[in-house]
Amino acid sequence: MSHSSAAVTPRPKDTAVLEERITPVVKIPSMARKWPAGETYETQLGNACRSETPMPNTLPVVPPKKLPERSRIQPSFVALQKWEGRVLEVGDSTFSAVVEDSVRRGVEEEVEFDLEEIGPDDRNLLKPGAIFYWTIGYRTEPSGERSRSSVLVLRRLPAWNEEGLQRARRLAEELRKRFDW
Amino acid sequence: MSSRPPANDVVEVTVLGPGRGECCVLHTGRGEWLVVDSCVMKDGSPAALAYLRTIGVPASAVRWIVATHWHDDHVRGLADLVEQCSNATVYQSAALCRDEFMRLAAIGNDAMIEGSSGVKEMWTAWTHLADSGRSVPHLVRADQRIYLRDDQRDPSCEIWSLSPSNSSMVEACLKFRSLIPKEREPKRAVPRPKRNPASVVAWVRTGQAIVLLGADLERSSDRERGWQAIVNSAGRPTDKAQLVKIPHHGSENAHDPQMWTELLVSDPYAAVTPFSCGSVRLPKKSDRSRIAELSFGAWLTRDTMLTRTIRRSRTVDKTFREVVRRSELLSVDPGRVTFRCHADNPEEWEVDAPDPAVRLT
Repeated sequence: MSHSSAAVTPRPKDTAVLEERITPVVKIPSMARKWPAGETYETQLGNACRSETPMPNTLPVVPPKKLPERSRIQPSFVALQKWEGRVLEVGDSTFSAVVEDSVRRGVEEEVEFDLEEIGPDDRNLLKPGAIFYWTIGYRTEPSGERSRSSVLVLRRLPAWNEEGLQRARRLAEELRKRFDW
Repeated sequence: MSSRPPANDVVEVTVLGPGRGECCVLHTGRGEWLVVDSCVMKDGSPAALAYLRTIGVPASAVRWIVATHWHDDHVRGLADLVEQCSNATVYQSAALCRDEFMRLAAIGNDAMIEGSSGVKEMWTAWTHLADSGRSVPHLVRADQRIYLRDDQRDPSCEIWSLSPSNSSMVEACLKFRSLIPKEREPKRAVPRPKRNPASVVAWVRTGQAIVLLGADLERSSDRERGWQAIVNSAGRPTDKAQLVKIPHHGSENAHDPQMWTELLVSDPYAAVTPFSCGSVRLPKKSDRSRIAELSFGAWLTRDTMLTRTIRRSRTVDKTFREVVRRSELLSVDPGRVTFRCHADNPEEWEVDAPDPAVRLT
Protein backbone atom coordinates (compact mmCIF):
# COMPACT_ATOMS: atom_id res chain seq x y z
CA MET A 1 0.00 0.00 0.00
CA SER A 2 1.39 3.42 -0.87
CA HIS A 3 1.45 6.17 1.70
CA SER A 4 0.90 9.72 0.59
CA SER A 5 1.67 12.77 2.64
CA ALA A 6 -0.18 15.25 0.47
CA ALA A 7 -3.14 17.34 1.55
CA VAL A 8 -3.53 15.90 4.99
CA THR A 9 -4.96 18.24 7.59
CA PRO A 10 -3.52 17.39 10.96
CA ARG A 11 -5.84 17.03 13.88
CA PRO A 12 -5.16 19.14 17.00
CA LYS A 13 -3.13 16.50 18.78
CA ASP A 14 -1.10 15.89 15.67
CA THR A 15 -0.50 19.61 15.49
CA ALA A 16 0.92 19.54 18.95
CA VAL A 17 3.39 16.94 17.82
CA LEU A 18 4.37 19.02 14.86
CA GLU A 19 4.64 22.18 16.93
CA GLU A 20 7.05 20.40 19.18
CA ARG A 21 9.10 19.53 16.16
CA ILE A 22 9.26 23.15 15.03
CA THR A 23 11.47 23.97 17.98
CA PRO A 24 14.27 24.43 18.60
CA VAL A 25 14.88 27.27 16.26
CA VAL A 26 17.91 26.77 14.11
CA LYS A 27 19.62 29.95 13.15
CA ILE A 28 21.13 30.02 9.74
CA PRO A 29 22.53 33.45 9.10
CA SER A 30 22.00 33.49 5.39
CA MET A 31 18.36 32.53 5.78
CA ALA A 32 17.65 34.67 8.81
CA ARG A 33 15.00 37.27 8.28
CA LYS A 34 13.80 40.01 10.55
CA TRP A 35 10.11 40.00 11.39
CA PRO A 36 8.23 42.89 12.92
CA ALA A 37 7.40 42.20 16.57
CA GLY A 38 3.83 41.12 17.19
CA GLU A 39 3.11 40.13 13.58
CA THR A 40 1.06 37.06 13.09
CA TYR A 41 2.48 34.51 10.70
CA GLU A 42 1.23 31.32 9.22
CA THR A 43 3.23 28.19 8.66
CA GLN A 44 2.62 25.55 6.03
CA LEU A 45 0.35 23.96 8.55
CA GLY A 46 -2.28 26.65 8.01
CA ASN A 47 -4.54 27.93 10.70
CA ALA A 48 -3.93 25.01 12.94
CA CYS A 49 -0.49 26.37 13.63
CA ARG A 50 -1.31 30.07 13.64
CA SER A 51 0.64 31.79 16.32
CA GLU A 52 -0.45 34.87 18.17
CA THR A 53 2.81 35.14 19.99
CA PRO A 54 5.24 37.85 19.07
CA MET A 55 7.37 36.91 16.12
CA PRO A 56 10.90 35.89 16.90
CA ASN A 57 13.62 37.82 15.29
CA THR A 58 14.61 35.00 13.11
CA LEU A 59 12.38 32.71 11.10
CA PRO A 60 12.55 29.20 12.44
CA VAL A 61 13.77 26.67 9.96
CA VAL A 62 11.15 24.00 9.87
CA PRO A 63 12.55 20.54 9.49
CA PRO A 64 10.98 18.34 6.82
CA LYS A 65 7.43 17.60 7.79
CA LYS A 66 6.80 14.15 9.13
CA LEU A 67 3.11 13.62 8.96
CA PRO A 68 1.36 11.14 11.17
CA GLU A 69 1.12 7.58 9.97
CA ARG A 70 -1.55 7.09 7.40
CA SER A 71 -3.11 4.24 9.31
CA ARG A 72 -4.30 6.75 11.85
CA ILE A 73 -6.05 8.74 9.17
CA GLN A 74 -7.24 6.45 6.38
CA PRO A 75 -8.33 2.83 6.40
CA SER A 76 -5.55 0.34 5.90
CA PHE A 77 -5.60 -3.22 4.56
CA VAL A 78 -3.33 -6.04 5.58
CA ALA A 79 -3.47 -9.01 3.19
CA LEU A 80 -3.46 -12.45 4.76
CA GLN A 81 -3.76 -14.46 1.55
CA LYS A 82 -3.81 -13.59 -2.14
CA TRP A 83 -4.90 -15.49 -5.21
CA GLU A 84 -4.82 -14.95 -8.93
CA GLY A 85 -7.94 -16.15 -10.68
CA ARG A 86 -9.35 -16.90 -14.10
CA VAL A 87 -13.09 -16.84 -14.76
CA LEU A 88 -14.47 -20.09 -16.14
CA GLU A 89 -18.20 -19.54 -16.38
CA VAL A 90 -20.59 -16.69 -15.64
CA GLY A 91 -24.10 -17.65 -14.56
CA ASP A 92 -27.19 -15.66 -13.59
CA SER A 93 -26.24 -15.19 -9.97
CA THR A 94 -22.81 -16.78 -9.61
CA PHE A 95 -19.58 -17.22 -11.48
CA SER A 96 -16.96 -19.94 -11.25
CA ALA A 97 -13.23 -19.52 -11.47
CA VAL A 98 -9.92 -21.25 -10.95
CA VAL A 99 -7.83 -19.48 -8.34
CA GLU A 100 -4.14 -20.05 -7.73
CA ASP A 101 -2.44 -19.19 -4.47
CA SER A 102 -0.05 -16.30 -5.13
CA VAL A 103 2.50 -17.62 -2.65
CA ARG A 104 2.19 -21.38 -3.00
CA ARG A 105 2.29 -21.40 -6.78
CA GLY A 106 0.62 -24.34 -8.40
CA VAL A 107 -1.98 -24.78 -5.66
CA GLU A 108 -5.24 -24.34 -7.52
CA GLU A 109 -8.83 -24.43 -6.43
CA GLU A 110 -12.01 -24.14 -8.34
CA VAL A 111 -14.40 -21.78 -6.60
CA GLU A 112 -17.84 -20.35 -7.11
CA PHE A 113 -18.57 -16.73 -6.14
CA ASP A 114 -21.76 -14.72 -6.00
CA LEU A 115 -21.92 -12.06 -8.70
CA GLU A 116 -22.29 -9.51 -5.90
CA GLU A 117 -18.61 -9.95 -5.14
CA ILE A 118 -17.94 -7.90 -8.27
CA GLY A 119 -18.64 -4.18 -8.12
CA PRO A 120 -21.11 -2.75 -10.66
CA ASP A 121 -18.32 -0.93 -12.50
CA ASP A 122 -16.49 -4.20 -13.11
CA ARG A 123 -19.45 -6.34 -14.15
CA ASN A 124 -18.85 -5.74 -17.85
CA LEU A 125 -15.36 -7.22 -17.44
CA LEU A 126 -16.71 -10.43 -15.98
CA LYS A 127 -16.42 -12.87 -18.86
CA PRO A 128 -14.92 -16.35 -19.25
CA GLY A 129 -11.16 -15.95 -19.37
CA ALA A 130 -11.12 -12.69 -17.38
CA ILE A 131 -8.22 -12.46 -14.94
CA PHE A 132 -8.65 -11.16 -11.39
CA TYR A 133 -6.87 -10.79 -8.08
CA TRP A 134 -8.53 -11.87 -4.86
CA THR A 135 -7.31 -10.92 -1.41
CA ILE A 136 -8.52 -11.81 2.05
CA GLY A 137 -7.22 -9.69 4.89
CA TYR A 138 -7.88 -7.25 7.71
CA ARG A 139 -9.18 -3.77 7.08
CA THR A 140 -8.46 -1.26 9.83
CA GLU A 141 -10.55 1.91 9.99
CA PRO A 142 -9.10 5.26 11.14
CA SER A 143 -11.02 4.75 14.34
CA GLY A 144 -9.03 1.59 14.94
CA GLU A 145 -11.95 -0.70 14.23
CA ARG A 146 -10.80 -3.88 12.47
CA SER A 147 -12.76 -6.21 10.23
CA ARG A 148 -12.10 -9.21 8.04
CA SER A 149 -12.42 -8.35 4.39
CA SER A 150 -12.44 -9.94 0.93
CA VAL A 151 -11.43 -7.82 -2.06
CA LEU A 152 -11.87 -9.11 -5.59
CA VAL A 153 -10.52 -6.91 -8.38
CA LEU A 154 -10.80 -7.76 -12.05
CA ARG A 155 -7.69 -6.91 -13.99
CA ARG A 156 -8.13 -4.29 -16.66
CA LEU A 157 -5.71 -5.62 -19.23
CA PRO A 158 -5.14 -3.46 -22.27
CA ALA A 159 -7.38 -4.15 -25.22
CA TRP A 160 -6.15 -5.98 -28.27
CA ASN A 161 -5.03 -3.60 -30.97
CA GLU A 162 -4.27 -4.18 -34.61
CA GLU A 163 -0.55 -4.40 -33.93
CA GLY A 164 -0.98 -7.08 -31.26
CA LEU A 165 -3.29 -9.15 -33.42
CA GLN A 166 -0.96 -8.82 -36.40
CA ARG A 167 1.92 -9.95 -34.22
CA ALA A 168 0.01 -13.08 -33.19
CA ARG A 169 -0.82 -13.75 -36.81
CA ARG A 170 2.83 -13.35 -37.77
CA LEU A 171 4.05 -15.68 -34.99
CA ALA A 172 1.50 -18.31 -36.01
CA GLU A 173 2.52 -18.02 -39.64
CA GLU A 174 6.22 -18.34 -38.79
CA LEU A 175 5.60 -21.51 -36.77
CA ARG A 176 3.41 -22.97 -39.50
CA LYS A 177 6.26 -22.42 -41.95
CA ARG A 178 8.78 -24.05 -39.61
CA PHE A 179 6.53 -27.09 -39.33
CA ASP A 180 5.72 -27.01 -43.03
CA TRP A 181 2.01 -27.33 -42.27
CA MET B 1 0.99 -55.56 -9.64
CA SER B 2 2.09 -52.10 -10.73
CA SER B 3 5.39 -51.76 -8.93
CA ARG B 4 7.33 -53.28 -11.80
CA PRO B 5 7.16 -52.84 -15.56
CA PRO B 6 5.03 -55.26 -17.57
CA ALA B 7 6.73 -58.07 -19.47
CA ASN B 8 7.27 -57.60 -23.20
CA ASP B 9 4.14 -59.55 -24.10
CA VAL B 10 1.90 -57.94 -21.49
CA VAL B 11 -0.40 -55.09 -22.41
CA GLU B 12 -0.91 -52.40 -19.83
CA VAL B 13 -3.40 -49.56 -19.82
CA THR B 14 -3.11 -47.06 -16.99
CA VAL B 15 -5.67 -44.28 -16.74
CA LEU B 16 -4.73 -41.33 -14.56
CA GLY B 17 -7.15 -38.64 -13.46
CA PRO B 18 -6.88 -35.93 -10.81
CA GLY B 19 -9.80 -33.68 -9.87
CA ARG B 20 -9.80 -32.47 -13.38
CA GLY B 21 -7.93 -33.78 -16.36
CA GLU B 22 -6.78 -37.12 -17.62
CA CYS B 23 -3.98 -39.06 -19.17
CA CYS B 24 -3.66 -42.63 -20.48
CA VAL B 25 -0.40 -44.59 -20.48
CA LEU B 26 -0.25 -47.75 -22.60
CA HIS B 27 2.34 -50.44 -22.89
CA THR B 28 2.06 -51.69 -26.46
CA GLY B 29 4.49 -54.56 -25.94
CA ARG B 30 8.28 -54.87 -26.25
CA GLY B 31 8.88 -52.00 -23.86
CA GLU B 32 7.26 -49.38 -26.11
CA TRP B 33 4.90 -46.92 -24.50
CA LEU B 34 2.17 -44.63 -25.76
CA VAL B 35 0.96 -41.63 -23.74
CA VAL B 36 -2.37 -40.11 -24.65
CA ASP B 37 -2.99 -36.61 -23.26
CA SER B 38 -1.43 -35.18 -20.14
CA CYS B 39 -2.39 -34.20 -16.63
CA VAL B 40 -0.17 -33.20 -13.75
CA MET B 41 0.78 -34.22 -10.25
CA LYS B 42 0.22 -31.91 -7.27
CA ASP B 43 3.69 -30.49 -7.88
CA GLY B 44 2.90 -29.70 -11.50
CA SER B 45 5.04 -32.46 -13.06
CA PRO B 46 3.57 -34.69 -15.81
CA ALA B 47 1.59 -37.50 -14.18
CA ALA B 48 2.44 -39.98 -16.93
CA LEU B 49 6.16 -39.74 -16.22
CA ALA B 50 5.64 -39.83 -12.46
CA TYR B 51 3.72 -43.07 -12.89
CA LEU B 52 6.25 -44.60 -15.25
CA ARG B 53 9.01 -43.81 -12.77
CA THR B 54 7.18 -45.75 -10.07
CA ILE B 55 7.38 -48.88 -12.19
CA GLY B 56 10.93 -48.25 -13.30
CA VAL B 57 10.24 -47.17 -16.87
CA PRO B 58 12.33 -44.26 -18.19
CA ALA B 59 10.87 -41.39 -20.19
CA SER B 60 12.95 -42.58 -23.13
CA ALA B 61 10.65 -45.62 -23.44
CA VAL B 62 7.76 -43.39 -24.56
CA ARG B 63 7.54 -43.74 -28.35
CA TRP B 64 4.35 -41.80 -29.03
CA ILE B 65 2.50 -38.91 -27.44
CA VAL B 66 -1.01 -38.13 -28.65
CA ALA B 67 -2.65 -34.81 -27.74
CA THR B 68 -6.32 -35.59 -28.39
CA HIS B 69 -7.39 -31.94 -28.18
CA TRP B 70 -6.26 -28.64 -26.69
CA HIS B 71 -8.48 -28.28 -23.63
CA ASP B 72 -6.47 -27.63 -20.48
CA ASP B 73 -7.76 -30.72 -18.70
CA HIS B 74 -6.13 -32.87 -21.41
CA VAL B 75 -2.87 -31.05 -22.11
CA ARG B 76 -1.73 -29.84 -18.71
CA GLY B 77 1.99 -30.59 -18.50
CA LEU B 78 2.16 -31.56 -22.18
CA ALA B 79 5.11 -29.27 -22.90
CA ASP B 80 7.16 -30.87 -20.09
CA LEU B 81 6.10 -34.33 -21.20
CA VAL B 82 7.17 -33.65 -24.79
CA GLU B 83 10.46 -32.18 -23.65
CA GLN B 84 11.33 -35.08 -21.35
CA CYS B 85 10.24 -37.83 -23.74
CA SER B 86 12.91 -37.03 -26.29
CA ASN B 87 12.35 -40.27 -28.26
CA ALA B 88 8.63 -39.68 -28.71
CA THR B 89 6.84 -38.58 -31.84
CA VAL B 90 3.97 -36.21 -31.12
CA TYR B 91 0.58 -36.64 -32.75
CA GLN B 92 -2.25 -34.15 -32.66
CA SER B 93 -5.60 -33.49 -34.23
CA ALA B 94 -5.28 -32.18 -37.78
CA ALA B 95 -7.66 -29.37 -36.84
CA LEU B 96 -4.95 -27.83 -34.68
CA CYS B 97 -2.66 -26.99 -37.59
CA ARG B 98 -5.25 -24.67 -39.05
CA ASP B 99 -4.42 -20.99 -39.15
CA GLU B 100 -7.37 -20.17 -36.88
CA PHE B 101 -6.08 -22.36 -34.06
CA MET B 102 -2.46 -21.33 -34.41
CA ARG B 103 -3.44 -17.67 -34.19
CA LEU B 104 -5.52 -18.47 -31.13
CA ALA B 105 -2.54 -20.23 -29.56
CA ALA B 106 -0.25 -17.26 -30.27
CA ILE B 107 -2.86 -14.94 -28.76
CA GLY B 108 -3.24 -17.12 -25.67
CA ASN B 109 0.51 -17.07 -25.22
CA ASP B 110 0.55 -13.27 -24.85
CA ALA B 111 2.86 -12.32 -21.99
CA MET B 112 0.20 -10.24 -20.25
CA ILE B 113 -2.17 -13.17 -19.87
CA GLU B 114 -1.08 -15.01 -16.78
CA GLY B 115 -1.79 -18.56 -15.73
CA SER B 116 -1.81 -21.81 -17.60
CA SER B 117 -4.16 -22.63 -20.43
CA GLY B 118 -4.57 -25.27 -23.08
CA VAL B 119 -3.48 -23.02 -25.92
CA LYS B 120 -0.43 -21.86 -23.99
CA GLU B 121 0.56 -25.48 -23.33
CA MET B 122 0.21 -26.36 -27.02
CA TRP B 123 2.24 -23.32 -28.05
CA THR B 124 5.02 -24.15 -25.58
CA ALA B 125 5.17 -27.76 -26.74
CA TRP B 126 5.30 -26.67 -30.38
CA THR B 127 8.05 -24.12 -29.85
CA HIS B 128 10.09 -26.71 -27.96
CA LEU B 129 9.77 -29.14 -30.86
CA ALA B 130 10.65 -26.44 -33.38
CA ASP B 131 13.62 -25.11 -31.39
CA SER B 132 15.04 -28.54 -30.53
CA GLY B 133 14.92 -29.75 -34.10
CA ARG B 134 12.78 -32.76 -33.23
CA SER B 135 10.22 -34.07 -35.67
CA VAL B 136 7.23 -31.94 -36.46
CA PRO B 137 3.97 -32.91 -34.69
CA HIS B 138 2.16 -35.41 -36.89
CA LEU B 139 -1.38 -34.50 -37.82
CA VAL B 140 -4.03 -37.16 -37.47
CA ARG B 141 -7.63 -37.49 -38.57
CA ALA B 142 -10.26 -40.18 -38.94
CA ASP B 143 -9.34 -43.63 -40.22
CA GLN B 144 -5.61 -43.11 -40.14
CA ARG B 145 -3.14 -45.75 -39.08
CA ILE B 146 -0.49 -44.06 -37.00
CA TYR B 147 1.73 -47.05 -36.41
CA LEU B 148 2.13 -50.67 -37.44
CA ARG B 149 4.52 -53.19 -35.93
CA ASP B 150 4.17 -56.47 -37.73
CA ASP B 151 7.65 -57.91 -38.07
CA GLN B 152 6.94 -61.56 -37.20
CA ARG B 153 7.95 -60.99 -33.60
CA ASP B 154 5.18 -61.00 -31.02
CA PRO B 155 3.26 -59.09 -30.05
CA SER B 156 2.28 -57.14 -33.13
CA CYS B 157 0.83 -53.68 -32.65
CA GLU B 158 -1.14 -51.09 -34.54
CA ILE B 159 -2.36 -47.71 -33.50
CA TRP B 160 -5.19 -45.90 -35.29
CA SER B 161 -6.87 -42.55 -34.97
CA LEU B 162 -10.62 -42.85 -35.57
CA SER B 163 -11.39 -39.13 -35.49
CA PRO B 164 -11.75 -36.21 -36.17
CA SER B 165 -13.86 -36.46 -39.29
CA ASN B 166 -13.63 -33.75 -41.96
CA SER B 167 -16.99 -32.39 -40.92
CA SER B 168 -15.91 -32.18 -37.27
CA MET B 169 -12.76 -30.33 -38.27
CA VAL B 170 -14.81 -27.72 -40.12
CA GLU B 171 -16.96 -27.27 -37.01
CA ALA B 172 -13.84 -26.95 -34.84
CA CYS B 173 -12.30 -24.33 -37.12
CA LEU B 174 -15.44 -22.22 -36.99
CA LYS B 175 -15.26 -22.40 -33.22
CA PHE B 176 -11.57 -21.39 -33.20
CA ARG B 177 -12.40 -18.38 -35.36
CA SER B 178 -15.13 -17.26 -32.99
CA LEU B 179 -12.65 -17.35 -30.09
CA ILE B 180 -10.09 -15.05 -31.73
CA PRO B 181 -10.48 -11.65 -30.08
CA LYS B 182 -11.27 -8.60 -32.14
CA GLU B 183 -9.64 -5.21 -31.97
CA ARG B 184 -10.51 -3.24 -28.82
CA GLU B 185 -11.59 -6.39 -26.95
CA PRO B 186 -9.83 -6.56 -23.57
CA LYS B 187 -7.11 -9.18 -23.25
CA ARG B 188 -8.12 -12.27 -21.34
CA ALA B 189 -7.29 -15.97 -21.21
CA VAL B 190 -8.70 -17.99 -24.11
CA PRO B 191 -11.83 -19.56 -22.65
CA ARG B 192 -12.36 -23.25 -23.10
CA PRO B 193 -15.41 -23.97 -25.22
CA LYS B 194 -17.82 -26.61 -24.02
CA ARG B 195 -17.73 -28.77 -27.12
CA ASN B 196 -14.83 -30.86 -28.41
CA PRO B 197 -15.63 -31.66 -32.02
CA ALA B 198 -12.04 -32.28 -33.16
CA SER B 199 -10.98 -34.72 -30.45
CA VAL B 200 -8.81 -37.71 -31.45
CA VAL B 201 -10.19 -41.14 -30.56
CA ALA B 202 -7.43 -43.75 -30.57
CA TRP B 203 -7.76 -47.48 -31.25
CA VAL B 204 -4.79 -49.57 -30.14
CA ARG B 205 -4.27 -53.28 -30.77
CA THR B 206 -1.42 -55.22 -29.22
CA GLY B 207 -1.56 -58.92 -30.07
CA GLN B 208 -5.23 -59.75 -29.50
CA ALA B 209 -5.85 -57.02 -26.93
CA ILE B 210 -7.71 -54.00 -28.24
CA VAL B 211 -8.23 -50.74 -26.39
CA LEU B 212 -10.49 -47.83 -27.35
CA LEU B 213 -9.51 -44.44 -25.93
CA GLY B 214 -12.57 -42.22 -26.23
CA ALA B 215 -10.93 -38.81 -25.53
CA ASP B 216 -13.65 -36.16 -25.22
CA LEU B 217 -15.58 -37.06 -28.34
CA GLU B 218 -19.28 -36.37 -28.02
CA ARG B 219 -22.43 -37.78 -29.56
CA SER B 220 -23.92 -36.14 -32.61
CA SER B 221 -27.08 -36.71 -34.59
CA ASP B 222 -25.09 -35.90 -37.71
CA ARG B 223 -23.71 -39.08 -39.30
CA GLU B 224 -20.55 -37.21 -40.23
CA ARG B 225 -19.64 -35.95 -36.78
CA GLY B 226 -18.87 -37.24 -33.32
CA TRP B 227 -19.29 -40.92 -32.53
CA GLN B 228 -21.70 -41.39 -35.43
CA ALA B 229 -18.92 -40.53 -37.89
CA ILE B 230 -16.77 -43.30 -36.39
CA VAL B 231 -19.55 -45.84 -36.18
CA ASN B 232 -20.52 -45.24 -39.81
CA SER B 233 -17.00 -45.12 -41.20
CA ALA B 234 -15.96 -47.78 -43.71
CA GLY B 235 -12.27 -47.01 -43.24
CA ARG B 236 -11.73 -47.87 -39.60
CA PRO B 237 -10.61 -51.22 -38.14
CA THR B 238 -13.62 -53.34 -37.36
CA ASP B 239 -12.33 -55.45 -34.48
CA LYS B 240 -14.02 -54.64 -31.20
CA ALA B 241 -12.18 -53.41 -28.14
CA GLN B 242 -12.24 -55.21 -24.79
CA LEU B 243 -11.35 -52.12 -22.81
CA VAL B 244 -12.55 -48.55 -23.16
CA LYS B 245 -11.52 -45.21 -21.70
CA ILE B 246 -14.98 -43.71 -21.48
CA PRO B 247 -15.32 -40.50 -23.54
CA HIS B 248 -15.74 -37.07 -22.01
CA HIS B 249 -15.65 -38.09 -18.36
CA GLY B 250 -18.77 -40.22 -18.72
CA SER B 251 -21.08 -37.36 -19.67
CA GLU B 252 -24.48 -38.15 -21.12
CA ASN B 253 -23.78 -36.06 -24.23
CA ALA B 254 -20.83 -38.31 -25.08
CA HIS B 255 -22.88 -41.48 -24.71
CA ASP B 256 -23.68 -43.02 -28.07
CA PRO B 257 -25.27 -46.47 -27.72
CA GLN B 258 -23.71 -47.50 -31.01
CA MET B 259 -20.24 -46.90 -29.62
CA TRP B 260 -21.01 -49.72 -27.21
CA THR B 261 -22.51 -52.08 -29.75
CA GLU B 262 -20.30 -51.41 -32.78
CA LEU B 263 -16.89 -50.65 -31.31
CA LEU B 264 -16.78 -52.67 -28.09
CA VAL B 265 -17.29 -56.27 -27.12
CA SER B 266 -20.25 -56.79 -24.83
CA ASP B 267 -19.44 -56.14 -21.17
CA PRO B 268 -16.05 -54.52 -21.71
CA TYR B 269 -13.75 -53.19 -19.01
CA ALA B 270 -14.04 -49.44 -18.59
CA ALA B 271 -12.20 -46.56 -16.95
CA VAL B 272 -13.50 -43.05 -16.37
CA THR B 273 -11.80 -39.88 -15.17
CA PRO B 274 -13.59 -37.14 -13.24
CA PHE B 275 -14.17 -33.56 -14.26
CA SER B 276 -15.53 -30.54 -12.49
CA CYS B 277 -16.01 -27.04 -13.82
CA GLY B 278 -18.54 -24.59 -12.48
CA SER B 279 -21.85 -26.34 -12.11
CA VAL B 280 -20.69 -29.36 -14.11
CA ARG B 281 -19.43 -32.38 -12.19
CA LEU B 282 -18.80 -35.53 -14.12
CA PRO B 283 -19.62 -38.33 -14.10
CA LYS B 284 -23.05 -37.71 -12.59
CA LYS B 285 -24.79 -40.41 -10.59
CA SER B 286 -26.86 -41.39 -13.60
CA ASP B 287 -23.69 -41.60 -15.72
CA ARG B 288 -22.06 -43.86 -13.14
CA SER B 289 -24.98 -46.27 -13.14
CA ARG B 290 -25.23 -46.33 -16.93
CA ILE B 291 -21.52 -47.05 -17.36
CA ALA B 292 -21.53 -49.70 -14.64
CA GLU B 293 -24.50 -51.39 -16.24
CA LEU B 294 -22.90 -51.53 -19.67
CA SER B 295 -19.53 -52.78 -18.44
CA PHE B 296 -18.14 -55.94 -16.94
CA GLY B 297 -16.29 -53.68 -14.56
CA ALA B 298 -15.89 -49.89 -14.57
CA TRP B 299 -13.57 -47.78 -12.43
CA LEU B 300 -13.40 -44.06 -11.73
CA THR B 301 -9.86 -42.81 -11.12
CA ARG B 302 -10.94 -40.46 -8.34
CA ASP B 303 -14.27 -40.17 -6.65
CA THR B 304 -15.84 -36.79 -7.42
CA MET B 305 -18.45 -37.23 -4.73
CA LEU B 306 -15.77 -36.49 -2.16
CA THR B 307 -15.01 -32.82 -1.76
CA ARG B 308 -11.37 -32.03 -1.23
CA THR B 309 -10.36 -28.91 0.61
CA ILE B 310 -7.11 -27.27 1.54
CA ARG B 311 -5.85 -26.24 4.97
CA ARG B 312 -5.48 -22.53 5.54
CA SER B 313 -5.36 -20.17 8.50
CA ARG B 314 -8.51 -19.97 10.59
CA THR B 315 -9.11 -16.32 9.80
CA VAL B 316 -8.68 -16.80 6.08
CA ASP B 317 -10.78 -19.91 6.12
CA LYS B 318 -13.62 -18.13 7.90
CA THR B 319 -13.77 -15.37 5.28
CA PHE B 320 -13.22 -17.86 2.46
CA ARG B 321 -16.28 -19.81 3.53
CA GLU B 322 -18.34 -16.65 3.82
CA VAL B 323 -17.44 -15.47 0.34
CA VAL B 324 -17.24 -18.68 -1.66
CA ARG B 325 -20.31 -20.76 -2.34
CA ARG B 326 -18.40 -23.88 -3.31
CA SER B 327 -14.78 -24.82 -3.69
CA GLU B 328 -12.75 -27.79 -4.73
CA LEU B 329 -9.03 -28.33 -4.57
CA LEU B 330 -7.73 -29.11 -8.05
CA SER B 331 -4.07 -29.57 -7.20
CA VAL B 332 -4.14 -33.17 -6.12
CA ASP B 333 -2.21 -36.18 -7.26
CA PRO B 334 -4.20 -38.14 -9.80
CA GLY B 335 -5.98 -41.34 -8.99
CA ARG B 336 -5.04 -44.38 -11.04
CA VAL B 337 -6.56 -47.47 -12.54
CA THR B 338 -4.22 -49.98 -14.16
CA PHE B 339 -5.31 -52.87 -16.36
CA ARG B 340 -2.95 -55.60 -17.51
CA CYS B 341 -3.43 -58.67 -19.64
CA HIS B 342 -1.36 -60.99 -21.75
CA ALA B 343 -1.39 -59.81 -25.36
CA ASP B 344 -2.92 -63.12 -26.43
CA ASN B 345 -5.49 -63.36 -23.68
CA PRO B 346 -7.55 -60.18 -23.55
CA GLU B 347 -10.44 -61.94 -21.82
CA GLU B 348 -8.68 -61.75 -18.48
CA TRP B 349 -7.56 -58.32 -17.38
CA GLU B 350 -5.96 -57.85 -14.03
CA VAL B 351 -7.13 -54.60 -12.45
CA ASP B 352 -5.30 -52.46 -9.90
CA ALA B 353 -7.32 -49.50 -8.64
CA PRO B 354 -5.82 -48.16 -5.42
CA ASP B 355 -7.51 -45.46 -3.35
CA PRO B 356 -8.83 -42.88 -4.34
CA ALA B 357 -10.04 -44.83 -7.40
CA VAL B 358 -13.45 -46.44 -6.98
CA ARG B 359 -15.33 -49.13 -8.80
CA LEU B 360 -18.62 -47.92 -10.24
CA THR B 361 -21.70 -49.81 -9.18
